[in-house]
Amino acid sequence: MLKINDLIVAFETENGELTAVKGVSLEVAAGETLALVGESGCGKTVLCKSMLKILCERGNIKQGEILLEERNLVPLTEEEVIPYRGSGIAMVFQDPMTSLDPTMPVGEQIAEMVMIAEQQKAEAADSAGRSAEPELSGPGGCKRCVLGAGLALANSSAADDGKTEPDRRAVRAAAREKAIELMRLVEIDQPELRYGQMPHHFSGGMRQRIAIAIALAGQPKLLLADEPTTALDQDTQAQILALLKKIDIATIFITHDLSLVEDIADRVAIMQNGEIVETGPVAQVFENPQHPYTRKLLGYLDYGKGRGHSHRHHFLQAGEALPEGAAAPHSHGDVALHVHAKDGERIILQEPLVEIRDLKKYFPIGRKNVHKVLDGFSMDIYKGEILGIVGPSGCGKSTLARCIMGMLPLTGGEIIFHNAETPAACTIDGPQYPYRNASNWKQMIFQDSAAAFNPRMTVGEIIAEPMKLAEKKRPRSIFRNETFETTCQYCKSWKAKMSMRDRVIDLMKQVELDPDLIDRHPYEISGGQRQRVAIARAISVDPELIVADEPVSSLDISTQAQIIHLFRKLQEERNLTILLIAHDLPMVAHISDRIIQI
Amino acid sequence: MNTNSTAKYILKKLGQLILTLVVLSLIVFFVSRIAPGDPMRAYYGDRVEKMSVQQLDDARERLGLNENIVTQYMKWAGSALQGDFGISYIYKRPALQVVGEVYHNTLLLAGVSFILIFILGLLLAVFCVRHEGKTIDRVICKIGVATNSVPEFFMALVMILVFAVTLGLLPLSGAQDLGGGGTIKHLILPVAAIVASHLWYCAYLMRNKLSDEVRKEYILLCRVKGLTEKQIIWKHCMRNIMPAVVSIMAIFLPHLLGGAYVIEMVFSYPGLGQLGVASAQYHDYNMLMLISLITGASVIIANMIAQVINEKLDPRFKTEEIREVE
Repeated sequence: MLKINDLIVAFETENGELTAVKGVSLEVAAGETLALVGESGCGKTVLCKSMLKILCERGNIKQGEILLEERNLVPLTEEEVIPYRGSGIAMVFQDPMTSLDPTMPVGEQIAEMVMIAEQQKAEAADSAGRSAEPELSGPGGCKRCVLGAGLALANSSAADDGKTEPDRRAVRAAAREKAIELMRLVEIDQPELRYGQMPHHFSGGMRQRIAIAIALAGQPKLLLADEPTTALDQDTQAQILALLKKIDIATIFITHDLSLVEDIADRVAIMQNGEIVETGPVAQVFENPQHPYTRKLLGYLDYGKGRGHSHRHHFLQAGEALPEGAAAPHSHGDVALHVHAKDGERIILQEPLVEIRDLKKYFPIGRKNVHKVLDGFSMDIYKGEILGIVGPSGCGKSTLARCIMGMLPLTGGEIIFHNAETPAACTIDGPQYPYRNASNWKQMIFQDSAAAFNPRMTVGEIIAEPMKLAEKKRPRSIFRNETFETTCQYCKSWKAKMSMRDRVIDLMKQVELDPDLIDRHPYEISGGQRQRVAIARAISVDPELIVADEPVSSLDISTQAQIIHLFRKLQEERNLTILLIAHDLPMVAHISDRIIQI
Repeated sequence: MNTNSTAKYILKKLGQLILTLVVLSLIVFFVSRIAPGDPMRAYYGDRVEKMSVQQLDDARERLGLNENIVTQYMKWAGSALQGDFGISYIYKRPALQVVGEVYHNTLLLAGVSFILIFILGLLLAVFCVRHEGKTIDRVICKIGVATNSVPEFFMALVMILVFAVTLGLLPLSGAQDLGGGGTIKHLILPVAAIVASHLWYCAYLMRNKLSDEVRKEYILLCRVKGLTEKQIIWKHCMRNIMPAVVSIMAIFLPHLLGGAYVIEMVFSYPGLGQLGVASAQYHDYNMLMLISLITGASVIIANMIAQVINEKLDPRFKTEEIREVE
């Protein structure tokens, strides 16, 4: 039904042309669901937008053809292509928060699509003769019946004379009826009541349902779903997927997450760097992947589902005997540490680093009301563990993180820290950690590091900043190749001559970051690299506790896996305690020792 | 509950309005008292020099000028509330009566200009956005900036020179022909001068607002729906930029009024502006205060209306939540 031949799409940039889609050929049959999988930036969305010809001004289709039912869309002008949108190809966008008109009632937005589709069909029927019509409203599932009824009603009124006023009102009423039917179809409660509500009255998942209803309203031949679930939380994701599965229109489902593909798609196309590297039926690709990139993606999938190996620690309950063959727990001063069992599994003693007791945090809403984000919350963070905190958005995860970091004043309750006042590392393992002191023993990593970094500073300056602050030097004054000499302020024994630059490079190597990036700015590196910079910045002053607030949420799945493993590696090397906050359960479950759900 | 909250809202807005007007009247009153000049001279003209000390004192007593300034304000404000704004020292008639004879001229001039600027600005903005980046858009922008940079009195003078003096098509000055009639003919040049020098200011702000709006993601969805560019702009973008546009127009009103007063002077157009300048020249306090008060109040009320319209146009401003029926 849809056929793409050797499509090349390029963007004009200041540094010459950038080819985003490099010769893609695809085919979608009627009723089939094709999943298009690839990392962010591989050209999935561009491919999609070029099918609808809604690329931005600088994007051009260089070569190739897009055949929708044997009609090539590429040479058509903007005006000629409009009839193919809506009733030909419909699209659901990634972010339901921004893709609906904020000032139009949702029902009207659906009804608008219904009316456009009617008009387009009437025009098509006019030009192609009446014979084309039965085919358009052809057979289908229960949905089609529902839609068919509304369509028949609207058609009968539109057929006579669409210009007169009472007639237009009838069309509008029919469109309203149909919109309500569609809202019912996408499982929105009380559609009559919700018809007149604005998008801001709806949650993200509900808005995505509305967006799907809009797409369906045109009875399209092909539905493009561009990461329709990425911006939603776990439960909503599942609901939207189930809804999409119910729909029997030919669909191209775009995602970066292979785990979603198994249930929903008939065929998979794997995309890398603007090329399709492998296509085939879902079962075949999953069972017997041909391309190395596919295998890599499938490997990450195993982590995500908890199928792969585990990094969990084993907890030693109080009073429980040590497993046989385990070494006696060695103590680093105050910090009680891991016990190594003989099979290499590590055991943690339950000694709290942070005790949170009856924590309350309220935010005022207006003058009188308060929003109780955290109300009587208690938990412990043990030394040397990775504690995962999981919960839907808005449950207070980030507030908790900020309270622990001391960024927000508490409304009530207390947080007790048992951090080492004198740096343990100074006395035991030798002078590795010159920065450990009372003021910066806890560090935070933010979700969106692009926003958390000063865009005018280079990567090196960003990483070096906490160290300079720890030395009480002006943050940006001494970066370039200046020799760095310090004595540990506690044991007075350690002296080193090392330029700050070398220390930064050392840190970058530890977080597996290419040292050549040191002079780049945050916007010149990828999301995964930025998150590594954030980690390097956090560990630069050698903290005991790292609070990571959704550190991987904005990354795609392969990068997520790498970052998560980096956390584990650093935890083991440096004996960190990490509080890992996420809404994505499997990824956290993979490395966390304990999980708390809020 | 709904009517209750609406009533509360109206009360709140009214309270704000009244408070602002009181502050305005205070400023107007005290500033006009601080201004140098002798009101006695304004009232009696040259006769002041011939009056005895006793006569002067009596006159001050009669005009209420020898009292403490706070008492004067209280008296003035009290009678103003009853619609008595005092006697014009020049015209020797109630100030309100004098203003009443000319205010409709200014209202007509400013009103027609305001509506024209709004409509033309919006059309120009839409036109520019639909041709954004093309030559025609750039040419319009350049011309707009150039005309916006020409002061309105100069623009008015050039127009008088071309259309009234050289071509003789339109009347030179005044609001009406001798013996009445010809209102529209007299209006064309002043309105043209105001519109020409102020249009681009509004059009440019609207154009930028609209050009931001068409880059938002919901516009993409609209395109995917199969709407034409024209439909998207008029049906979807307009509703979204209206709050901003209304604010722009409300903020713009003082500029326009100031412009209209200057134009009135140039065209000897009998209106509030001309009256205001004359009363300032001759220290006609009561008249001056009334005109300042009218100007200030119209700006304040326009802003208030803009605020209310904004809250009506943009449903996100509404605080009430639609609850589901259990």
